[in-house]
Amino acid sequence: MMPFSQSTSTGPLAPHDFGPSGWTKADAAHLLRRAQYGASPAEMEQAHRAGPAATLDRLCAIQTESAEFTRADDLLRKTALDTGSTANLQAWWLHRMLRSANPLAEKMTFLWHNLFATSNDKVKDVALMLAQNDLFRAQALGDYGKLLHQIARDPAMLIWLDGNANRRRHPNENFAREVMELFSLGVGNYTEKDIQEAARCFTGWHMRDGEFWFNDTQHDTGSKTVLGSTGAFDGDGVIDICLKQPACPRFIATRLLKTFVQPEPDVATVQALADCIRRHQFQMAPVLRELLASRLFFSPKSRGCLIKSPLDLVLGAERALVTAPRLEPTARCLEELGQAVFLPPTVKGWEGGRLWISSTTYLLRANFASELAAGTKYGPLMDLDAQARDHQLLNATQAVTHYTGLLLATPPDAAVVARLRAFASDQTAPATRDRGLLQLILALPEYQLM
Amino acid sequence: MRRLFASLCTVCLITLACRAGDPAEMLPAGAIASVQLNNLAGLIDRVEKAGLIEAFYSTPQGLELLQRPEFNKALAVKAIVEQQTGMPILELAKTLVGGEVALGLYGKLGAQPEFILAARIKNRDPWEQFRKRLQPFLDLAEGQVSLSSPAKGVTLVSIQKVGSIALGNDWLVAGTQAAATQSVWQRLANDQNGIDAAKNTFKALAADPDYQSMRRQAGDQPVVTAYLATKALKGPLGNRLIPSKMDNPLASLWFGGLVEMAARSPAVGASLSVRENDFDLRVVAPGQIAKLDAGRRALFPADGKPGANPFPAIPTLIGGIAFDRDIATWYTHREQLLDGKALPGFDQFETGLANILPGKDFAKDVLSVLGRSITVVAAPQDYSHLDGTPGVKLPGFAVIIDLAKPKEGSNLLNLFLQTLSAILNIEAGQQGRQPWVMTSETHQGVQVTFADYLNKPKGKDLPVVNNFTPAAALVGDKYLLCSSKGLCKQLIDAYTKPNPDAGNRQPAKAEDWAVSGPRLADALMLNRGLLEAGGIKNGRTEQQAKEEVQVLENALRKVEKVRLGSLSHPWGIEVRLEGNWK
Repeated sequence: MMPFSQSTSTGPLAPHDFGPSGWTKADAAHLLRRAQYGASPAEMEQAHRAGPAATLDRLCAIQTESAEFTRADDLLRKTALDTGSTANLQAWWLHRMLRSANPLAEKMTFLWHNLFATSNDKVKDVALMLAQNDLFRAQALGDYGKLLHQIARDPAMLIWLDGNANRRRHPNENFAREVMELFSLGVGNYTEKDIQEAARCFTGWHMRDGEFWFNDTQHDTGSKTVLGSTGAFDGDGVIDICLKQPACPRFIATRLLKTFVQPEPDVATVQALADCIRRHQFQMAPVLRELLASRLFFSPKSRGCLIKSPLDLVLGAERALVTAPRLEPTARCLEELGQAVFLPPTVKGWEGGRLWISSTTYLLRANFASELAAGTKYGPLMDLDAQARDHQLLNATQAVTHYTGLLLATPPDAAVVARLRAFASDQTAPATRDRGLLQLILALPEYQLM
Repeated sequence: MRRLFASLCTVCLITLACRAGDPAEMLPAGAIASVQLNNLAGLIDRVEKAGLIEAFYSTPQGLELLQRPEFNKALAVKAIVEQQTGMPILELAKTLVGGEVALGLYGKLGAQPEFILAARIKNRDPWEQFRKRLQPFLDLAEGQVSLSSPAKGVTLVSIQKVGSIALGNDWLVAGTQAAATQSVWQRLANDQNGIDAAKNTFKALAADPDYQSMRRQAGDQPVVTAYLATKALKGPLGNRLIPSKMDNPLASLWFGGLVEMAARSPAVGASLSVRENDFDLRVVAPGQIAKLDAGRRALFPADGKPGANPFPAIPTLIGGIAFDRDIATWYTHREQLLDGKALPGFDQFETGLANILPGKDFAKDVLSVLGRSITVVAAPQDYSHLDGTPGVKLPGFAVIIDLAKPKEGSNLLNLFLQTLSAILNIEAGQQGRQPWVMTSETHQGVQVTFADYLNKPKGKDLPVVNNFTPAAALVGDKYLLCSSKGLCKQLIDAYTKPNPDAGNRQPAKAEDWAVSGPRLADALMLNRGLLEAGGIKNGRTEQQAKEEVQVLENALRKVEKVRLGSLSHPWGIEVRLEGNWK
């Protein structure tokens, strides 16, 4: 087992000191909720027992999937390919997000999917979307630089950003622009001239018969100047130039911080993580290991501050509470809440954060809470009688304490607790009491945060 | 309260002696509706011996049911009943429900309905035992109920403002309306005690002419019979409750005739018969098809004609639908048959059709070439048109259209096929798939026009669309439109020979649906992975999903054939669902 953290940083990425209270259940829950899509009571228990180092080791390394998972995964994958159905493709991925032994890898796969946002609405090819997803998964905890090179050749991406329209005499700037703006540097770190020159570098990078094809007759072999470097660059050359820019690791750092830590990271924090990324040469596993073990990650300021995306909300609730989630209603719910995987709304992906909450989506989230607690639409709830027995939930106070601890990122304030207790006290049967409590907790504003 | 009482009566006490005759003999005439049960003991016995209940509990759905709290409560009630009655629940049901039960609904639509339940006990000993065990509870309840012995061997339990229950030596009567209930139990009591007087004045439902016209068509010894006096179902102003116009054209084409016959019939009945290896469920509506308006008459076989065609003699046929309709006449009368809001769609359709068939009228130029009979069939197909197989393996499908004007009709339908092929080829180009090329060959002297791939698609799990290579041919007056050339050739073989099933087709069928269980199982199990994936998507584990699919396959292979058809008789119409199993 590795030490808790090998980081020698002294700033926000310095290893967290758990102090006299040590590694608590709340710490374990915080880590799992951020690193995965929610966590079941059993997973929290296991993580608490295993300790922070072992838990991080497990999360940040690829584990072998069980035989049963592999068989189910193969069946769902084949079904998606055979039917050519986006709905079946979504079901395949949701199954992985819920059941895989590598939940952090699945979360990172989604991060790449959101970064290199490609929609099947335009690609219209399940096989290509699946291949792209496999690419993201292969580098989920791997090399971002390698991924950036690979995505430039990805057939789904070439369709999405009109690669075949990028020709020597009429360069198409779509991909070149997105490489700089959305995939590696961010706005303000390049000029329009850089985009035009980069577009020339990608000319001839086409797709033919479902595969990448370098169309040399359409490639501009002339000299180009991109971000201050001059030469007869091709697409790989442009990508190498982008990777060398100081803005690149900052761009990735910002994305990681907004996904795992805080919605508005400050400049110093971004730079600290960017330095870490550069130090590890864009390898995500050691970067995530440092980040998720850091003082910053476990600080009180970083707890309960991220608004849950629909995936975090829905899958998190199902992972915590539902024994056999139903994938099709889950996918439909995610679509209603604005996050249908494989169908990002624009090239920018899902911007998230504050945009997840509106009067409409909040009502939909409350409806989800009610339907999930009923235990029919999304699958049967865990055995609430067994929970009451195993955790000695003999009265309203104990039930409220147990379920708020299980589901909320931070302890709720006294007024909320009082209202929950008042509701629970009015119920006679434990199962009815607890089912009602779950519905109320899942609809709380506090539950929308993690 | 009365409805609950009626339900409880039905649930808690059903005992019957098997005597010859119709259970409706026990009920007074004038029922709006009634249900009769006959010899349920035999059916319960068969279910028990076949081990169906244990088999169900071992399925994933059964295991889930066993874990539900409501089911555990039901098991607790079962245990209490068994303890109080001194016998297992199935034994109790068999013994007490062995013979005949009749439940009748009386009154007027819109008013509080009245119920009467009458039952004859099959085995006296358990009934006596049951009465003895019931007596202490009745004694305890005195105060809430009043007990009396109005005749020898009869106990009358009256519940104020609810109704009464009478228990005899081998019968039970319960009802919400005192006078009517009394007329029933009085007759049974007289019968029990050898008194004839009451029989002369009692008019039984079984003697009702409308009931009799329905009962005659119910088949031999049905287990369940139901009766509905439709003439009693009128609105406050005497208007019919079933609307005369439908708002769905497809529903009108399929069911419009049946619904109208039911609306005009004085009564509608249903019966279920279950035998050793087969069953039939019949719904009948007496009446005269000839008295219907022209638009609805067109939905039944013409007088004296054989109706829907028999299915083609293909050895591997999975199933099919055959129907007999004069679509042109129905279409011409659509304004009388359809609700106003369904009509604009037809104008849009005809305008759109003009793009493919300029200068043609749909009713006069298109529908007029069609004959009355259309058959749709499904049969397994090979994949010789591919260098591989599709991921999802569909059977071949075919539509067989009888043509009133074969040459004209086949030209029109060939035009449709060519246009469809052209549209799909554009889509194929956009999606990078192999396009079709229309070509032809001769089989058994018949020209077959079919779509072949420009280059044979290659691969192990090809897209779904690769199941299809449309083909068409004209055999006599039958136009064959098929999803595969292979099936087209099989149909040509079938139609160029005499059909062994052609025979006597009376009574004529307006439609005929049939499916073979084992062949359907073969077709589904080619896509076993797809079905198992469906289970996983529904929250099952991989193992549970596999088991569920296996249960489905086993069930389908046990069912030899299921058939649904509507038959036109001189006395009215009948819809019959029948099936047989191994």
